[in-house]
Amino acid sequence: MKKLVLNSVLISLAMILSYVERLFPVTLIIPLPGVKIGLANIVTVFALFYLDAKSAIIINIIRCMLVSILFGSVSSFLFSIFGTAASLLVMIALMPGCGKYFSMSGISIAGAAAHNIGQIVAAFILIRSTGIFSYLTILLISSIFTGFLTSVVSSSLLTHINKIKVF
Amino acid sequence: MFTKPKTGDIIIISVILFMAVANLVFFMGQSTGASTAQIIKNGKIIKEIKLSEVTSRIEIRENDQYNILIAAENGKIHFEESNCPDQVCVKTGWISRPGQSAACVPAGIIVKIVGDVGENSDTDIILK
Repeated sequence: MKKLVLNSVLISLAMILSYVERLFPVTLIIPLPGVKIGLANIVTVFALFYLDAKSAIIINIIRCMLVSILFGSVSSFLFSIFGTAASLLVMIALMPGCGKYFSMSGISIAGAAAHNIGQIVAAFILIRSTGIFSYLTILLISSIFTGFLTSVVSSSLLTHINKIKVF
Repeated sequence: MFTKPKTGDIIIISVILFMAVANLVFFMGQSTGASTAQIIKNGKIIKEIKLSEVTSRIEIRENDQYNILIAAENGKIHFEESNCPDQVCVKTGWISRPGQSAACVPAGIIVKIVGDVGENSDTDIILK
């Protein structure tokens, strides 16, 4: 029951973060279209570390669906589901090595990069032009920074949550 | 406890950087603007011009019902002159990207640009 509540809270948090991110003009600071901070990824990383892989998958699938229905379109659903699936796959695959071989930042960065690759694949499916892959370089480099930012927020969140022991 | 850097992190970042560079090298040679202009008269393609290979000015004249001059130069094409009544084709101006088109309806001539995959999609993608 507690887990259900926590999952629901995380879904709504992820949705709000996805929405806030649309309002936040990142392109003013970094003038590149498509570069996003990936605020919702904070929730994914948090769920993956604090809960388990199953919860992270459920949270992300529901978030993708709801965000696309409320604020987006069919193509935006395709983009986010491809990105999310790739990112989750990579992060879950790397999870067993956490603490031993990889830090949280490393896993988060790998997830962010996989997210971008997934989105480019989705774009390729929609446009069917290989030209879209030329944009991947910029996205991959930006994912190193955004992935690191995400992990910093998530790790400080985790330390505080572990202190107060709400759940 | 979570953010202490590990050796695997360096590997992850190097792999990402390697992919970024490899991707850059792989796609640098490919020009994304490999577009072809099709000149279509009454539904039939009468001429195709590879816009990326146009070095000097190319002029195409059509003197059927109306006198039309289509000109292509460094990657773009337009209706330069036409004596059709509405002049929409001339006012469209230069077109260069796949999916763009200019049409002279009275003469039945359409100039249309298709991408390197040769698809006839007028819209690449609509994003929000």
